Amino acid sequence: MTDNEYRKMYDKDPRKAQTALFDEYLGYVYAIVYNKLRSCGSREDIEECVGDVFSAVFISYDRNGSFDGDLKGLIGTIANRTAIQMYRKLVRHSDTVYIDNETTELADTDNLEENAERSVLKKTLLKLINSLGQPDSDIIIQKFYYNMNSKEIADKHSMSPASVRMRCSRALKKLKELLANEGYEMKEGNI
Amino acid sequence: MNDKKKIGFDILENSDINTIEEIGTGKMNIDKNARERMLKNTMKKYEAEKKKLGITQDTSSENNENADSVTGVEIYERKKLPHFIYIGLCSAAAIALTIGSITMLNRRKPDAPEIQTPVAQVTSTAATTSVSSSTTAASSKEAVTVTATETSASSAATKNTATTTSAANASDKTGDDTETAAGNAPSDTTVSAAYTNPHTDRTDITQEELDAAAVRAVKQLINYYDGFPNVAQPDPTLGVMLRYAFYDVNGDSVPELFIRHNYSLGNSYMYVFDGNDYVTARFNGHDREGNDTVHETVLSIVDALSADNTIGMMGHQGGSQSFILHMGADNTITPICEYTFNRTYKDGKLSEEYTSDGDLDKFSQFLDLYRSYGTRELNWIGYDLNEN
Repeated sequence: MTDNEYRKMYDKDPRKAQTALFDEYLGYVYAIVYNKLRSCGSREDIEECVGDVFSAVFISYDRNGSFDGDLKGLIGTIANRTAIQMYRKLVRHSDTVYIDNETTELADTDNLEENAERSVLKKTLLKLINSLGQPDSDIIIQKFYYNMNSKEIADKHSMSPASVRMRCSRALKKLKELLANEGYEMKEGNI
Repeated sequence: MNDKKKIGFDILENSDINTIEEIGTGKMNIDKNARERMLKNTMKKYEAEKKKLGITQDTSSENNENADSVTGVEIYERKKLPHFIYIGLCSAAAIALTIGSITMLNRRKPDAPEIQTPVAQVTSTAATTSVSSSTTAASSKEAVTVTATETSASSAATKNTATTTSAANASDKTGDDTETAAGNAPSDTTVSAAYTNPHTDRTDITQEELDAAAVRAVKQLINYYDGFPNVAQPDPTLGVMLRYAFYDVNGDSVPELFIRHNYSLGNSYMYVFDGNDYVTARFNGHDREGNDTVHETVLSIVDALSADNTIGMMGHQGGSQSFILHMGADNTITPICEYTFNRTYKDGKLSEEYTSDGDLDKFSQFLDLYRSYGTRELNWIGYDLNEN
């Protein structure tokens, strides 16, 4: 959906346009929020934050009459900012040490080296996961990053939960071998 | 001993949007119930926020089966004007504007200039130069300095005029302190008066509006550097990064916008909100040769300092200029201390002149002063360059 398409739809029926925008970008917003709150927030916290993001997006349009031509960019920025605010709120009274990532501690030279190393690790892990091929790469991400159970993954791939478990086990074994070849070892407790 | 590096899926957390898309934004499980719950929650928050902001637009729909019913919403129907009436009204408005503008221009006194920035430079093959300077105290707390430089070539009647006007505010210097140096000679005793930046008295500014204005300013900045997105896109791990933060330096309830990036040698910026957009802030100062000039709040480092109403600007090494600035509630900026390779200024006045600060001794003194003000840690928001 583009800025113009939303405007046309909004002029006819605002609520319908908002629902369409919500449906189109729900996965995108959820993924951004999940990425920030994965380790500190519950499912309720994530859903709460997603609501905050879309509310802010709708208000932004109501006030400005447009999305400034870059709907996805605006939604991504608002989602990122809102999720970081929620993260801070969640960890404020906990003992969790706030680790700023490259998106929040961008031009800080002290963290550049650390950020670069994290980026390399991310790229390596994603590259190796992708090398497993479909649907194994998706299953690994769904199981270990999105923490979905075998039934949920099975529904997504039209498989039986038993097949998912079997594929997942084999894919994980292969991923560990690939990581070992690159000089890495899978962390305990991450599986 | 196992010396392999440990890696886990938690490494994928706190990623930039590009990496999040690579992980996959459609792979998670959002069932129908969760979707309904989030949509309902969104609409609830939206309606509450809308009510709080006083936005009255009809967002109800017969087709809507997800949202709570909303009552008391004002329905606005736009009635179309017939085309010929519309054209007539537009023409009348244009004529009225033209007549009004002409009348205003005719009534304007020629000896009361309102220009606030040096806008022109003298360019001529001048044989003789005559300089006249006048200082007019507009009020006890305001000074207006006008410098007119008239240059005439010996054989031609060509005349070019450069006008510089600086306004001083209540917290700064009065007209008595103001002296003006013309030409290219260093203005050793010049007081750099406060520079009046755009300012808004609006009280209805929302964070969403500021967010949108900040994103616009960031995009404008990125567009200024042609290589910016191109560098970022092929390999985000190269580390081209941009972030921005809001901080109300002068306590006027409208936060200033700070932007930092590390493209090329990196730069920092501070913008002020003019009611619609974040725009570059400026201040009166001196160039490296000691001439009066107007600087923008753009340098390698631009810090919000811990002392109230102060910002600091630091150049690369001692060869560049560095500043400690005061920012008034009306967005006026006045230099407190300026460091250059050959001179140091305090409160706009030349305090020290030296051949060159080769061993950076003077810079160290400036640095000590800068550090004594302390710097504030801002809440930076990352901007994903790949989204641009």
